[in-house]
Amino acid sequence: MPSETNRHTFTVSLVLCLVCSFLVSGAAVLLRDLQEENVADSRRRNILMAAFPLELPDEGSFAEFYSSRNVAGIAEYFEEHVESFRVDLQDGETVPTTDAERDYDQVKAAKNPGREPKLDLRQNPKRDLAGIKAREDVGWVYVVRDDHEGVAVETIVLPIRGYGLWSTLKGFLAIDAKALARGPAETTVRGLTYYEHGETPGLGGEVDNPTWKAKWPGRRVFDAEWNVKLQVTKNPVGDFDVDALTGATITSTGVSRMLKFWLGSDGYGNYLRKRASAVLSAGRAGRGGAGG
Amino acid sequence: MAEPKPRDVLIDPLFDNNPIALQVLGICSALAVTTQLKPTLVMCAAVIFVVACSNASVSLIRSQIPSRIRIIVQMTIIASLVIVVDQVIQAYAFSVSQQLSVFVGLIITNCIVMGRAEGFAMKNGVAVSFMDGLGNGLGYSLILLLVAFVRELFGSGKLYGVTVLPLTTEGGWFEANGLLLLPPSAFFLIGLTIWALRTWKPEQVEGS
Repeated sequence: MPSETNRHTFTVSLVLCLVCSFLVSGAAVLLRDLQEENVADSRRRNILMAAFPLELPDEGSFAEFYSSRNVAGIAEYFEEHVESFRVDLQDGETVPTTDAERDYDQVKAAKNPGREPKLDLRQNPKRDLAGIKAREDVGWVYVVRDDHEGVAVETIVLPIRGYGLWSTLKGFLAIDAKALARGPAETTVRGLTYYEHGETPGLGGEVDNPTWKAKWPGRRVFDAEWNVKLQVTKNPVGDFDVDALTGATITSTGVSRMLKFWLGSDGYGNYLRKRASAVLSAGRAGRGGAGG
Repeated sequence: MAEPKPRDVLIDPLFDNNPIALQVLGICSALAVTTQLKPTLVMCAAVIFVVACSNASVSLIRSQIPSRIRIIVQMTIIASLVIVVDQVIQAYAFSVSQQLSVFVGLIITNCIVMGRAEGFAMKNGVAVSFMDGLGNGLGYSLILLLVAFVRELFGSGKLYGVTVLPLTTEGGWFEANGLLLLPPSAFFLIGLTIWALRTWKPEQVEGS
């Protein structure tokens, strides 16, 4: 029989705790690099999936690209073709990113801003169309550049998030930068993808369905006055309308509202306006549509 | 009680003493992770590893464990193994780890693991305890894979992510059964499995 003295009990628990903590911390430290790489890789893939919903310029299809490229391959493509930078959501100006801010997480920054946010959604609940309760001051923008059959493709990918029926949906919306440069009324969607949500499988969960996602490319975004007209609706009629998900009215409305928020002047709207006008004036000065 | 044979403790939990079908343990994760075969397979591997290793570790130090704190000691061992498994899955099967989310961590609360540590490993040798853990993990996996097979095939027309029955929503002919994608369907499937198993082996029927 094991001895039941206090001393023995303490010794056993101490030794056990030491062995177990060594095991756990060992695993955490050894695997950390791989895990961080996985998180970064999944982010890169999701950005590219939004930018190229149907196919990648240099590959047959995204599915092919997805399976043929490993983590390093995606990272390399990203390095060559994607420019990441941050913008101030309040005035639309680009914000410099130091090395320490490379891993800036805007969802976390919204929750713990560390100072008074420039837009406090709690004070202005009517403006909180996406149902996110807090908005960060600074957000990421990704610009993907590639050639598609000899034609240069430039896509702006914006992180979006908002409440659906059960959960916050997180994803990326891609906008055609060349179309944006021609003015608000010309602006079109390149793609929309969600990487995290907890909507009902088979109903709201169909936001993942490739057939539904294929309805997004080419939809128009703004009217001539920069009002967001892009929406999900049960009776799609015009260039702005995307067919709603069957049996998922609340999720569909959530998608509409978060688009309105993130593309509006409380989201990336100011940045998109500045970008368009900068490109327009640069164009008039005869430098072509560089932008970025 | 006669010393249990390694072969028996490995085979018994599959049909004769299945942890899910007979003891009705571990149902929570059986509902949550079985919409697709791939995450189910990873979950099963994780449970098999945890229950086999926790059984072996508990058995190894069973003569040293003071009975006053034995449950805490078992929990500590199980929790450590689960965290290690969770870290490994996050490192090597990232997309699956996102689908499984909290359910890998919840293996800690899986009654099968705790039950085998307390009920078997505390009284038996290391090798036979390891086999017992393996057997119970496999018994759990058997039911989970069965449930996941039916749910993925008729819920989304696929098996292991490969389309078998083309869905009407994607231009095929098969109308998916949306209920199978929701957790309650696993209840029905487990219930039907238990019914089938008890018809086959009437000695498992309680109160007869």
